Amino acid sequence: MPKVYNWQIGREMNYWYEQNRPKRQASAVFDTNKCIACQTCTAACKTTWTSGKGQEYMYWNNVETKPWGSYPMGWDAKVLEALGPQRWVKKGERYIYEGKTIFEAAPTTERVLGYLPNDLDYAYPNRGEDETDQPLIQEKFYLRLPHDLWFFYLPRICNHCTYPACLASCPRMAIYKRNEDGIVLIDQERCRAYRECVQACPYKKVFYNHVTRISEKCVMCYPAVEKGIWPRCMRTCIGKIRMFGFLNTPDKADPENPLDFLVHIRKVALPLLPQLGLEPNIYYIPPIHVSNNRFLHMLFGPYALQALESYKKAMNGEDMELVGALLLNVSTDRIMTKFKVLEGKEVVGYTENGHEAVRIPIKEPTIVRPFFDEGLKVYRHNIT
Amino acid sequence: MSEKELQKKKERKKLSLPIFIALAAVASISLTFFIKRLQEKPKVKPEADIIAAKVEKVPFNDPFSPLWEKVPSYSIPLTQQATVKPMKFTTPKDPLKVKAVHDGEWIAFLLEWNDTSPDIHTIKTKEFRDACAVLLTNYPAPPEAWFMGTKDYPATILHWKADWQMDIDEGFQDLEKAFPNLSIDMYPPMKEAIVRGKPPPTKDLPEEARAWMVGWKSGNPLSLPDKKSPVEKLIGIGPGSLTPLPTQDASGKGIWKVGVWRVVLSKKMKGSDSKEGEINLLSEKMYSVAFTLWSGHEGDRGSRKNPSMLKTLYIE
Repeated sequence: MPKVYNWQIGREMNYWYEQNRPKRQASAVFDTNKCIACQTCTAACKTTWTSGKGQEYMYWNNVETKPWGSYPMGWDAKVLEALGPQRWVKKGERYIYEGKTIFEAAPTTERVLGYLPNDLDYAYPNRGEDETDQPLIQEKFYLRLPHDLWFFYLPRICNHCTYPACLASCPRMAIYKRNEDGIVLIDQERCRAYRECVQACPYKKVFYNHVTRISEKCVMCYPAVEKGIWPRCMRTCIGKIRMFGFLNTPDKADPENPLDFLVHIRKVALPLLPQLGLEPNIYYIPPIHVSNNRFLHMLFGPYALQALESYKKAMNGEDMELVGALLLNVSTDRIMTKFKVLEGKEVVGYTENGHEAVRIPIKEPTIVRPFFDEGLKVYRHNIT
Repeated sequence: MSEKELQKKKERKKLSLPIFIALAAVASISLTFFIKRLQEKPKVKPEADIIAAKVEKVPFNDPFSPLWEKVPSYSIPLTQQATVKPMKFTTPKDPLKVKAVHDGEWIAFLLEWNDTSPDIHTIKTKEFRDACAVLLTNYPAPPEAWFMGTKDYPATILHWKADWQMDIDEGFQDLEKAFPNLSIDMYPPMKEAIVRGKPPPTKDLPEEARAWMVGWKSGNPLSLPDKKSPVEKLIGIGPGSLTPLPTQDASGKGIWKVGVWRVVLSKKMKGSDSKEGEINLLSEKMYSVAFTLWSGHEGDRGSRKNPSMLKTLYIE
């Protein structure tokens, strides 16, 4: 198998095809600290792309509650268990993954280590939301949770990976990664329903359509992206947790590009399960309140605590540039490729053509009005 | 010795010379013909693994036609697929039984194999169909033509699918077949709610609702609810190159009875898509052929299959 370089695991790895990075890579950052699992993104995607007969069970975008929630059921636990030990070793300032990726751990007969979910695995997309894995414990005067008091919401879409397992596994080469934006698509004319992609994708974001009897997946709303507009799930996010754009590799990181700034410069956003070896392109700001560091390490890799430190600086007002970048989340539906924080007061986002897409005050101005309105001769209930 | 006897002896002597001459002439003519015959190309049937017998009319949709009992059956061993990943390392216990006939216009193959559990649906994510295929290419094909043909030896493939057979025999096997308790509110852009939550048959969905059924909309043969034949005619020029041919005129039928699949796959001998590489078959000619089985309950699909080696096919 050819060797390719995966910067997320800090080493070369085996992949089915030669390295062929797209001209630019569509990417996004999700701030898990702001997600409230309202499922607006899920509904936006559902109504746009998966409303047809045969797609009832499909959620190209879903939001699951960690640690117990998962859709399809147990996708992460099953993949990680099959993968075996996942050891990271620190060399200097960097961590190198010394375990096997799903390409390297594939059985002799397979291209990729994977499994096919059962239909019932898809039947409970919301199972685990705000739930425990065991019954509550009855103490003398109160009920106690059987585990630490933390959970968080994890919105998930296709990661449009740099090294997609779905693409590697398709013997028909019916899956392709677009050179212009790195979006991974299934050719609906060429697909022969082998479901190798459903089996191979560790994130389980390729689905089998029960009626058309071929496979489908998230298309990153490419018709919108081609017009410089954000995907539907991103621009409808009411929690403003999402930032969409194009990401460069670390060696070509542009500090003015909001995605590069969050991922490469401030290193506040991390890939999901980087040890699988796909170089996924959806990045997550880890939750700050999770007390189990090992869980975060497992889910987001060894830089999880470092990312949290960076994030906390912004929350404490010590990094206004990062605050500015985070304020761009869902501030416009136009794709921004540059941003600037002006005198620590405003953040401005620019489109690819250099046009100003949005301008936001870093600190929202507060106007305090008198308690008594002289003109109307009334007292105000709300003075700010 | 009497005079009479002497007279007879003289007469015999007189006769023996012309007889000898006549015999010598016959022998020399025979020898000439024999030598000439030796110099000619022999018109005997060449040795072939399978001979497609000439019949009056091909029973292209009847795996139980009495005609099949009159033609020889060939036992074709199946092997593992250990060349292209994903692979299949297990092999069926019994060889595949193959018969072949032609009538000058159509050629048909009867494939018969044991299968205790017929897999006839592909609705659920983990459901895979039983299927079989015949690969035809020109003779003598290089060994690599076995892998779905080559550019110089394109493979015409007849692919029978058990789920397509069900779609034809019993109507489109819709979502409700796998999920009988399914309930749905609406499918956009239908404006009204679906009565009692029971979705309309896929075939009856309005044109606008098909926008969400991209496979169908884009014309993928697997996604079309209205199947015409259980046998798909495809062309291959190597692994991963399988492409449906524009004229889908292959025919056939498969019937599962008491643990045995009997499937007929047939095509026109003169390829209707010969411009795209479809093979033209002629009488008294040799071709290369291979057979493949997919066992649904073993998760077979694509390259997870049991093919035969490349065999020779002689068309009478």
